[in-house]
Amino acid sequence: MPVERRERNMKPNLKQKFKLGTTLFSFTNEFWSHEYTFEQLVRKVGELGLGPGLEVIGFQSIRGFPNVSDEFAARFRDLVAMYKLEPTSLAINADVWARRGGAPLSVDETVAYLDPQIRAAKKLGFPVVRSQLAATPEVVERLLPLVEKLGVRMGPELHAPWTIDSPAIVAYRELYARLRSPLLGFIPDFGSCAKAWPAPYLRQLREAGIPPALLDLAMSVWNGDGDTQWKRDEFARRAAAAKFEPASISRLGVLFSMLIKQDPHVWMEIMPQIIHVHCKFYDFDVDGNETTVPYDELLPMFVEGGYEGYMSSEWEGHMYSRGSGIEAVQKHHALSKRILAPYN
Amino acid sequence: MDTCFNALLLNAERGLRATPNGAEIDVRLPWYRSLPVSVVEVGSLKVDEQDVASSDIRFELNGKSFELQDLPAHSGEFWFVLDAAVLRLPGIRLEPGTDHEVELQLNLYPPYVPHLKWVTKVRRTLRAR
Repeated sequence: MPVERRERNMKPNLKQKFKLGTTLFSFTNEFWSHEYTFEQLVRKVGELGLGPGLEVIGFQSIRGFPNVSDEFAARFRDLVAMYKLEPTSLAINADVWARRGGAPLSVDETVAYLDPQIRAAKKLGFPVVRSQLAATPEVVERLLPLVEKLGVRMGPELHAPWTIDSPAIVAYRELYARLRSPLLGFIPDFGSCAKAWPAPYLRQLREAGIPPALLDLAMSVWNGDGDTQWKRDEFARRAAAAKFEPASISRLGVLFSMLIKQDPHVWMEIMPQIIHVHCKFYDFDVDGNETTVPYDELLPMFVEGGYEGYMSSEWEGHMYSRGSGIEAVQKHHALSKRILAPYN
Repeated sequence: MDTCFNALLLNAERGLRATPNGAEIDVRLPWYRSLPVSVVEVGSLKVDEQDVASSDIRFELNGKSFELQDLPAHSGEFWFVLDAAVLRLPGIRLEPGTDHEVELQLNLYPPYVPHLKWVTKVRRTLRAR
């Protein structure tokens, strides 16, 4: 770590105002394989001290979502209270391309699709809903009266391959500047300021028979210069020209929408508008440091920025392994607490 | 190193059944969240090295039965992430207790991600029950 950064990190007057937490997305392996139920996972977060923040994906955890029965909501609220957890964000989805081969949902249809999901968040006690770019600025503006009525905050996840100055993101920034509502904001996903590819993912792809030359091409485009969305297309073009198998190309194309390189300091530009954070992570070295995302820079920066929300530990290892998300989140919390110790 | 999605897409223990209405194959949704069946596509299916035509496959879920070609129209029918759907093959008669090679390619088009086609291809020996 450079000397000036270490000194800055140790500023005694800075205090951590945000809280840690977990998204149940991290436990996709445990849940999907029927090893744990939803309720058991919530208990696990409480028992292992992986809260206090608890984030849930509506369409993952709740059968019949966005319909949430009174009984389910009451049970959830009891569980959360029992373990002193704090619901942070409910992930909602604008499935605008659900009609395969047909027209995408119109603005009216998208608003109608998201309305019951936001009401479900309120019913379950979540103060924030995480949307995605498929819920366009126009849709967000139309939903503002609802979120104002419910007192729920809303914002898109800022996820790879988009950077903070991508036109799609700038459109929200302009909308927010016009509306000036404290209920609208952004949810950074730290996969969009990565420094490297997770080694176990690359290993799994090699074992799955992806040609090494294709992996090399992907890595050289990913590490190179250029717009992050252009890189995804550029990789697909060059791989197709080199006659690699379409299935392999598509499998690697996903990587360009999971992680991108971006200077972590861009978050300072929008810090007052950050309503929640996804601490995406993958892999740890022998010292317990995460190998793909610069947490040693990011966490102190969010302290400096005065961030007051929650940070959900979000492991995406189910994409390349059957490993335990519970163990991964424990490691991520240990790392986060170590980095944040000087601010407590 | 395998993933849950690859390892459990097909169920080696009880995922192939011989019934009077043809063979049944259990299939899991290889994605982290529930999706509408409209974005699910059976890319290809082979049983014992023989291609099964998509017109010879029915997709069964939530107590309903669909022709594969009709799936894109059912954007309101959700496949919950913990449930197995059934591929019913009325034209294929199996003897209980016999082993069969099943190769399935399942394509998903997650409807909130532009341009994403998520391909899962698995080949397994399943014992008919």
